[in-house]
Amino acid sequence: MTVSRTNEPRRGRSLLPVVLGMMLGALAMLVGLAQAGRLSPRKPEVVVALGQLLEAEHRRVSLLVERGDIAGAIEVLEALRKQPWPDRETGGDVGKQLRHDVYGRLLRLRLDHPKVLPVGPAALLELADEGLGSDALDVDTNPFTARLTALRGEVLEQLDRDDDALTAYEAALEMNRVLLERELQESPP
Amino acid sequence: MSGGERPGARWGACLLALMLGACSATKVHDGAPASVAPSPTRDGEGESMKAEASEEAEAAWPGEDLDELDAEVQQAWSELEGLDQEREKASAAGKVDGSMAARCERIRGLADQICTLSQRMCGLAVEHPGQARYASACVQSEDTCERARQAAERCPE
Repeated sequence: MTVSRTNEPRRGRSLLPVVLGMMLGALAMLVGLAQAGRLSPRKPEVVVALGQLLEAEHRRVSLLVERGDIAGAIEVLEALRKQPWPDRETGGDVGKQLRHDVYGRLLRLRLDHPKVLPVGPAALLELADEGLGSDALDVDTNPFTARLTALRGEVLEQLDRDDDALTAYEAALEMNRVLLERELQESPP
Repeated sequence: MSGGERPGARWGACLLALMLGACSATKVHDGAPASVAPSPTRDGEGESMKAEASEEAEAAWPGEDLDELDAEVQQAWSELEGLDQEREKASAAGKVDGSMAARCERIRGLADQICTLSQRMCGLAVEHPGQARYASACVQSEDTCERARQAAERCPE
């Protein structure tokens, strides 16, 4: 009897910090994203729809790669490449990062499997440049842009454009260094 | 209200029924086995069984008085509360471990990326001997790689 009587306030008491934590977490995330300039898509619904589409397609690609169907995976990503991508004003930084993720995955697959649906290094460079776009450096530092920039360096190396390759590697290294610093600034592991 | 029935007698009967009900409920709730309660259909054996049941109930009763029982309940409740607190602590520690593991995973991933890039840059430096830009980029990238490795090594496995 005593237990059941005092159990109700206890349950309420144990739930309260969880609810408060969730609310504070959501608020902190929104403030953080806004401060980082990442929450500025003019049409957030476009980014949400794009994110949902890409999540499904990335899973499909993973499944195809798992089955060894590299050509199928490349075709899926090439189809995504042809879809209309939101510009930075419409989709914000998040839209650009989603794009860099898809292009990076496609370029990685093409570089790792040059004999599957083969294309020349010039076409690969075109792929990298198309993916990064003209405003890649304006996008907040993130792992997807860093990876695509590094892959562009690999393509440039294939084209014997070593100076440009080194520039790309330096840019990618700097992005990764910034990301690492951000992780370490939170608190030392 | 019908015929010559008096309200006082009716209230008296209700009060008596309530008192009897409360007594039997108290016994059941206090832990006495319900099977020892006399059956209302066995009127002839009712009184002797009542006495036997009462003795059995007294003998089976773990505590001498209510204070002792209350102390036992309080002790059990304290133990339960302690276990609950331990569970909450363990849950919180698990969450911290999870976020730390995810962060260390990211740190290791970034360290790998940085060191792979450093290898590529140093590979280019080998292909371009005597060119200061390549040599300098290689040395700087190796420093960055070393720092990233150290950060990754500070992470628990």
